[in-house]
Amino acid sequence: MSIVDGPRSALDRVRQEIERNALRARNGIKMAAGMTAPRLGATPRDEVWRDGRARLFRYRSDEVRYRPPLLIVFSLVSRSYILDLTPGNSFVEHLLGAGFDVYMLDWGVPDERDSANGLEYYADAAIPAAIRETCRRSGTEEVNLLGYCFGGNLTLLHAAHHPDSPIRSHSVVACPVDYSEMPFKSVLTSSADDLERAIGEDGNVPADVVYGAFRSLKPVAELTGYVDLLERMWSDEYVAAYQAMNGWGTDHIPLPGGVARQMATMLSANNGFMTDRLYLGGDRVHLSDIRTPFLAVLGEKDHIVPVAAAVPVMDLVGSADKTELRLKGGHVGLVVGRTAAKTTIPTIIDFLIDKSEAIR
Amino acid sequence: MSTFSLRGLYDELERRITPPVETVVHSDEFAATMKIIGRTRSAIGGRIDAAGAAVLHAVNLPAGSDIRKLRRQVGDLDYEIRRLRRELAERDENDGSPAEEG
Repeated sequence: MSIVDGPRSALDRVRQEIERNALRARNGIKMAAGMTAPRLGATPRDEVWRDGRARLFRYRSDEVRYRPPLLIVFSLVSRSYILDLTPGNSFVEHLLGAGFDVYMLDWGVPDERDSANGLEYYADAAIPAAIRETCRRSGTEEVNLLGYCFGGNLTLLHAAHHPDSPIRSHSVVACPVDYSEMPFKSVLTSSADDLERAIGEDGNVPADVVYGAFRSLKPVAELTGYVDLLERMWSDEYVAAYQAMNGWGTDHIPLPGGVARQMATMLSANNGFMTDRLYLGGDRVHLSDIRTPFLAVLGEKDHIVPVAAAVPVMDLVGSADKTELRLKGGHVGLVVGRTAAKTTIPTIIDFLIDKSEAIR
Repeated sequence: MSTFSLRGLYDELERRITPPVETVVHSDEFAATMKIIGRTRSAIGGRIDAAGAAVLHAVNLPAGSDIRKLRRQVGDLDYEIRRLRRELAERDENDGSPAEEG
């Protein structure tokens, strides 16, 4: 048996490799020709409010079973479609499936008109307006608020500055607070001169500078990604996932100059969240003023926002009801992929259901 | 078979190369070098832009830098208008009269 199986299995492997090479060639040509572009951010949604480049979207659902609605506040340096990556691999899809009325506050791509935007614009103007609009559209008095990555910083600042904001529960995912533990220290602690030099002619930190900062965290990862792709290019599924993820990972957006300056001084040099030296519009704000039920989700393998940078938020917020969810995933793996679908997302959903009421 | 061995070779190479590369890229010296490169590049770019602008200005044509400056100014105006609009909407809301839908 082994005499026969040996050559046969070798022959099978050769045949499989030939087939895979043919598939690699086919998929390679398709990729080069742009014929395999995945459907990103495909969940149907409607724009319900806008201010400048900021837009509030409401995802369509006929199966809303809980209220208040969930308002997701996205980060400022990347595209929000990561939360609705592809059909079947979408955080938003899971939330809708669970019966939530989901809104997304997307900051758009900043240009000259946003260069003066400081944290006050986001925390004191746009988020309150989006909360009002969400409540008005859904006919509720409150929202469940969720901030992703730097969006978490924005929701924390908003909630701390406006303790009476109608927030039923507050969740942050991969949200940094201890900036001394952030891996971008050399970028974040740039001198004022260097920062001004990094700011482009439109008054914002250009997208390629933002991308460069992220890429420098794992300088070999891009090459490894290409090697992985070459090896598994025969798989349509892998190619689609690679294109979706790699496309997002290289698709950064400029950071408004006003925010960049505040990040460099208040959040990074002064480590404002940790040292309780946060100022918005001249007011001193304290995370301890946040009293709403709170959930922090952090990834043990997150190389962008390490655990040490994210975990102190649990001690900083003043909520009596607070939950820490620490998972093995990386920064994006918390909301995308199989681990997210199995662990993170169901836990976030359980938390939100617990803080919501069933309709009817 | 050959793919696996090539992959194994790459993995081994990556395992050995990644730590020193990351050490270099994450070092203060690397950050300082990148800053110097950035400063040099922006200084050279600034001089080239200035020279190009001088030529265009000599024949009464706007340079790219003039357009960018104008765009910044329009951007600042847009920012102020949005801020004022928000303040008015808030005032309307506090007064109890309906704010205009945005």
